[in-house]
Amino acid sequence: MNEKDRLEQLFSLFYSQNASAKEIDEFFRLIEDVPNEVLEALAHKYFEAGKEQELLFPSQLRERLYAKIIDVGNIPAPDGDRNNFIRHFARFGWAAAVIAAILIGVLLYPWTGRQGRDGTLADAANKHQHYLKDTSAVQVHGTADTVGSALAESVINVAELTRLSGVTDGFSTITVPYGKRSELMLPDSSKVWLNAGSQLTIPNEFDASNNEVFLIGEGYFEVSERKTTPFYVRTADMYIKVMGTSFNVSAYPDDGYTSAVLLSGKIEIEPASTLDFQNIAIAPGTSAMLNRTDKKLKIQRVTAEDEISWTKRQLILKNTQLSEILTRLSRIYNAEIVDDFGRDSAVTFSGKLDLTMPLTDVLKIIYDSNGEYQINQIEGRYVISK
Amino acid sequence: MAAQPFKEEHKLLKRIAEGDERAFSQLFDNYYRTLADFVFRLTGSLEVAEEIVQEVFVKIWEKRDELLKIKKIGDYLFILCRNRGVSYLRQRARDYMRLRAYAQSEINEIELENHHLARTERLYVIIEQAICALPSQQQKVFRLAKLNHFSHAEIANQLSISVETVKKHMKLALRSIRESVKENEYAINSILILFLWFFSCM
Repeated sequence: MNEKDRLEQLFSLFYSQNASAKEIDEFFRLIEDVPNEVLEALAHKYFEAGKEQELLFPSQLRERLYAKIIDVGNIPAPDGDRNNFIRHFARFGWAAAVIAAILIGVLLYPWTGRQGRDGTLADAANKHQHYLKDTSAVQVHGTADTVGSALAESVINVAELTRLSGVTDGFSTITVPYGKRSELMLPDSSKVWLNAGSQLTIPNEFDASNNEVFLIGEGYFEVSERKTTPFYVRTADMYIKVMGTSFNVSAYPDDGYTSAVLLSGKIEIEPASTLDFQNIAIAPGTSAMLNRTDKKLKIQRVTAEDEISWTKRQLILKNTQLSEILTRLSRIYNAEIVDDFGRDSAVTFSGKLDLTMPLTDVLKIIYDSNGEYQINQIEGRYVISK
Repeated sequence: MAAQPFKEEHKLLKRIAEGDERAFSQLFDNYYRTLADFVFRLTGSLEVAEEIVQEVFVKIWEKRDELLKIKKIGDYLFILCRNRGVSYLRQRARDYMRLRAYAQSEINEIELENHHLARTERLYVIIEQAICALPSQQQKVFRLAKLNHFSHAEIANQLSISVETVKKHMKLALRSIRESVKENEYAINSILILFLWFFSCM
């Protein structure tokens, strides 16, 4: 590949926020000798090409940004919005009031229901999703900026973090990057363990009436008992209604399924607004797994403790396929694992893996039963070959 | 989805030229997100995206007398953002190279195994990103001190703050950078220790 093509390739990765550290390094080095016109042309091309894609810039920043422009540009505000409203109101009298009341009712309606609130929660979650690629530290993002970083080892107290940020409305997202694992305490003292490459979005005003969280990735929840109002865990395709219980939810965007496993208590599975299946309550020791391809929900008995082994830094395998093991390991260790060994990826394994060991040692355990092999590690890339 | 141009753009621009704030806010609402998203992708920084979009709209307001000469306001706004974004990206790359060269010279003095050296690029990028994530004043102070080699007194003078404040900013900046590095390297290795040392006496 010549330098020009390589530059474009790196530009495209950087622009789509998919560049690895190594690629960023190479990109920055290449830029030095490239004239502005070339970069401008690339910027133009990718802007045009990306017109249909999702906007990463959060719309919540709108007010702040506009206020700054008004301030810096010394732009006079219009002569009182509210006065205008009162004038019109007086002119049209009560008819206007009735129409206004109905209009407000109609406008508010979609947001008052559970479904509606899910929209804004899900919006916030989606807006923060890029942090999974952006940060390599456990971080909390509020409506606007980073609220803070947390050490992966300590329990993150969500109430404390949002209090420090001074934000009282909107949502915060806790991002646990690949290679990390985190434990959180929610304002109602419920506990959540977040696995590698996961995000949890929660309302900053977390209370009895506003207690829905949105999960991307995998989390194990121990929800304190609630007598009246349920707690909801939302994922892109499955809603889980909780009355005080412990359960595991796995909803990685790159997996073919979303699953919930109940350990104790009671949960109810509901379809997201885009899907259509019967609400169903599941019993302890069972899992509800939604296949994203055929959109079918499957209920089966499982050994629930195995499903949450990751919270204890273990991975318990029971006839688990090699391909799935490698996917999980690459998330946990934030590594790319390449199997050049040519093994059938449908081959299954059973046993327990200790995740406190280095990845090379874990891989050795898996491949040792196969005689000759070697593992080459370059940075975060592990290649297994004969 | 990207912004669609207005149907009656000319009328809107005319109202802005006459000093109508409401028309200005309409223009802003139609374009700001597409532009900010673009600058964010181009520069990798939300803060810079906000800054550039702010600058561009303030400029539009200040030059509102000349607005009617512009045929396609969307293209015009884009070009203003693009040029600023590209020049920021270049600046960022230049700073990165300076940081890299500096760190490299420190590393070269100590012999390291090859596979450790291979990890250093990741660390440069982590450090560079940590610097970019610093609050703006801290970042300014840190860049002037470490990448432009100004003394604390010179920085204090330049930013009209006290030397004590400069020192405080430096301390906080170094602490956050060190924490990012620590956070990122789940497997402690000799490079990490080296870097922590490097940042403590830099």
